[in-house]
Amino acid sequence: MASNAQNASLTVWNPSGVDRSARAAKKLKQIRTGAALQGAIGLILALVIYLFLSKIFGVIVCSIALLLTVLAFCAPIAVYTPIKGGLARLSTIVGTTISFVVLLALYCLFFVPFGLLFRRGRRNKLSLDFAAERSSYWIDRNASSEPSSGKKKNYEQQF
Amino acid sequence: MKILGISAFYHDSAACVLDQGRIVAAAQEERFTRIKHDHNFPLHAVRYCLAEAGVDADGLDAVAFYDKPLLKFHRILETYFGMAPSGFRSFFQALPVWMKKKIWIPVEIEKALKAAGVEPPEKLYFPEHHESHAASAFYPSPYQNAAVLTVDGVGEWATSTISNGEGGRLEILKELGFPHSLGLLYSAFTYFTGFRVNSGEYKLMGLAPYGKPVYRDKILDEMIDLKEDGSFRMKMKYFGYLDTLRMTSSPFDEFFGGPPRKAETPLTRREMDIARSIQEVTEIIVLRMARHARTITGHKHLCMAGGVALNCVANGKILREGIFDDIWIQPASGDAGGALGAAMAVWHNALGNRREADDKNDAMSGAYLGPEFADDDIAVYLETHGYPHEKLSDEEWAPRLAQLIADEKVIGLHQGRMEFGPRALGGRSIVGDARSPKMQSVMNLKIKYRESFRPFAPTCLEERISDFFAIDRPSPYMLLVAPVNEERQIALRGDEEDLDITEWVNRPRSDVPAITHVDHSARIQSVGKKYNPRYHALIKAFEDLTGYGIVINTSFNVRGEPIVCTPEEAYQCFMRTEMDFLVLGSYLLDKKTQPAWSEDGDWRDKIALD
Repeated sequence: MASNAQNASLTVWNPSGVDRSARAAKKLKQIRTGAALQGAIGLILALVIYLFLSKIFGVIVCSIALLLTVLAFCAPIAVYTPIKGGLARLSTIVGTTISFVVLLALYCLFFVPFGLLFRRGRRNKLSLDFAAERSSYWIDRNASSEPSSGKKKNYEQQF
Repeated sequence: MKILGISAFYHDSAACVLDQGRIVAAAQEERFTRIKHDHNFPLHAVRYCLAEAGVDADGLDAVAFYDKPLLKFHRILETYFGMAPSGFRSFFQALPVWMKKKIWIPVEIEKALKAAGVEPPEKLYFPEHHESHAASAFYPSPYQNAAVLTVDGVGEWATSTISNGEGGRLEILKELGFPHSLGLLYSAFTYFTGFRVNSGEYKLMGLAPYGKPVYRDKILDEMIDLKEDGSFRMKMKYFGYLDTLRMTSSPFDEFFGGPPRKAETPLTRREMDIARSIQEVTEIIVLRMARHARTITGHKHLCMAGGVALNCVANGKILREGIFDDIWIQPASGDAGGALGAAMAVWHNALGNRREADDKNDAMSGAYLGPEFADDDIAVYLETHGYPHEKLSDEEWAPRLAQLIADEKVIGLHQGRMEFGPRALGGRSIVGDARSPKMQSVMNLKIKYRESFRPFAPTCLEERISDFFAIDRPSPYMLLVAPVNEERQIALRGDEEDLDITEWVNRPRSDVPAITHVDHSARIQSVGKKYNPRYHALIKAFEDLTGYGIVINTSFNVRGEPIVCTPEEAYQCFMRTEMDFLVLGSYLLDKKTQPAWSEDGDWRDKIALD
């Protein structure tokens, strides 16, 4: 077998199998590094809050940041990871709710009125109607002004 | 010059590398991540393809992405303008993904290449989606000149195209525009009959022979307006994909007298008749499109790609109609093949490179374009884990396996390079005796764990194809369906429709019952010596033993998981199922001697049904 091929196959598979202990150690290192970074950011944020907004709230944020960092180093799998998972789920819920509100506003304030306006002005890029009098629905690529066709071939453009 | 082609973010992400226009490697991301139809950016496939091509840190000259993302985004937005005020649920689901990922393709490409240790090249190219499909069909084909037909769900705006291919140039002549799409029409019926969209379409095709076309005319009269040239429009009141998260709407339910079938519930006569009806409608449309392609291009050969080109029953009809002297279908006709086509479109269309074809040989290397694992590495794996094995010499490999197949053993075959595309072609296959009447139900229920109505496909020796099937040319990629020769058929008794589907399936239909579908058809792979000599030798040895140069070939996976890639995945699948033997390269493993298999939890819970 050519050496390229053998090397290539080894990029997708380790014949000796997964070194579970090395993988576990790597995962722990990732958890701790991530937690340390988040802890540092949390402390900076706590300091800003303490100095400029609310001393009590600043202390609370600082305590949470320190607690999570300590947990990441002392009980990374048993305690920190489930807490982090819970926080991630909470942030997903918050993010989804915010997205919903923003996108609903965008849809109602932009797409609905303009969509209705366009269709009232007989502009609809979706050609939905049947045309019994036509012998063909094929669009001639060279002649048509439809958005997908008649475009100059410019391979470097994304449109 | 080395070009990397990429498809991503819809379904079946993949990567491909061309070196001076020659296909060096191609692979689907799902095979590495073990997520079926993985649509995420194909990091692993990119890394593999670059390694296979020996691309070093600054060795990549260009990257081609398989569609124009901003043009596609334009279509998405125009759809919402066209449907508002309805459509918010779809809008809410789609827009965040677009804003976060899909409009930032150059950034994703740069990240992936840096992760693979390769400097991103200056040039990024974005051929259109259907141009990528057309290029994947034409450029690797054997033909110097050909008509090219691409039919799928939708690209940017086009859903079907007819192109003219001449030498090194490919030009799209005609297109059909969204939302009128044969791919989406077929997917709507896939959804309605309880199969998974973008995954279960071939199950709908396999179900069709069990039914009657009772709805065909009604569909043609009321659901679509079909013109003589194969172009059509759909009555969108029946379809929900423009503005809802369903493929079909309430009027569709009323049309067929009830709601969609729920997944995993028993199939009824209604679903079988629907399957048959939509299959015939699809064939009518594709045949008309093919005739129109012949008319406007004048070429005597046809190339096809796009998801609908995987409908091999329709492909077989095109061939038998004699509209063209011959046809060639891209083995990776779905979006995975777009990666290959994008790279090809750039090499030829954008960069103007020539192409010479001899009208006989294609450039796909049998579709064996993925990783291959050396015997030495396999030995390390088996020794490390203590799995009992036996090394077969080159001389004993084929005869030994042939004898096992003749003894009605089921063998998992993992050898050579992995296939590119949805079909297993002897590199990652489960093989068995096609003569055995019980093999279809054994394999469906005990090995694939899938629906029992589904037929198996054969691989036969290329030189024997006409001995078994009514077809007079090779079929190397399992993309053509043809009848089993009449002299081999066992006539239907006429009472099949009164039977339970399981009873019907178990009735022998020919002297190779395991691969003969209920209508006496088969989806054929023929293998020659050139691209898979070992597989050819195996079937030849089986013929020497039994007089039959044909075996069952099904993909090496259980239902819901991607086809296996590595020897480790092959071993895992082997041990999870009731296969008798496993072949890894030159090594043979007997299930009876293997240590007991254990894993955390039930593996069936880890794999979502498709």
